[in-house]
Amino acid sequence: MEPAVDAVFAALADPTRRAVIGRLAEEPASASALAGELPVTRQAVAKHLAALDRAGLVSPRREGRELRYALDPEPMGAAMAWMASVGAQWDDRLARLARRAARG
Amino acid sequence: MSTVRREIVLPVARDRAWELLTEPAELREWLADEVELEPEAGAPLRAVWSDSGASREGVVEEVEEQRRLRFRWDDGETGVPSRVEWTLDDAPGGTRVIVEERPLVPLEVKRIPLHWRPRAVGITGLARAAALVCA
Repeated sequence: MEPAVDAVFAALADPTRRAVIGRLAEEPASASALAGELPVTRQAVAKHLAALDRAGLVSPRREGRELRYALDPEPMGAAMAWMASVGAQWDDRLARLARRAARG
Repeated sequence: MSTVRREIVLPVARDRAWELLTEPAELREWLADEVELEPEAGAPLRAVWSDSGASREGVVEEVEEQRRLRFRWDDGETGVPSRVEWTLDDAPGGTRVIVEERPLVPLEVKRIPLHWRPRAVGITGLARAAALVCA
């Protein structure tokens, strides 16, 4: 297996990175915007974005004063891209379901 | 292939878990902001997410009370139509819910949302994608 494929698998193994991919599937976003929407710090988001960048799954683009990250699904193939996006949606929904169930 | 599978154990009994998965008032707490669903084969289904404006419409295909609910849904435009199955089972400490979603069209060929469509893919890219999909 070539290193790029290892990097893609490693990148997709993490639930936060899948959430980032799910979010970037909607539209490109900056690290700050992602940190505002996901339950992680901006530093953690930056680390995850760096891992996704190394795997070739996102690429940063400068827009004005902001660095915005766009999804590049090519290394995944369409099937993997669909699975990553749909998986991230269920991760979100089931987390909300678990909270709802715990409330009784 | 291409099946998304998630599993969770809810700290509630089967009948309560079934309510959480089939009553619109409960579904609005976790599935989407607006949900129309009736646990009855052939019933129409609709979910709307207000922040993104996304919506999905579909139909309930199979219902086994407190055990299984299967439906298909589609956003009718850019999305991939898919089939979703929720399976409930007793588990230590509560109820295990298994979620499976699989696409109803071949993903590599058509109906991939525009922003997902791979750009001109070289041989390496194709080989990589194939390796991933087959893995």
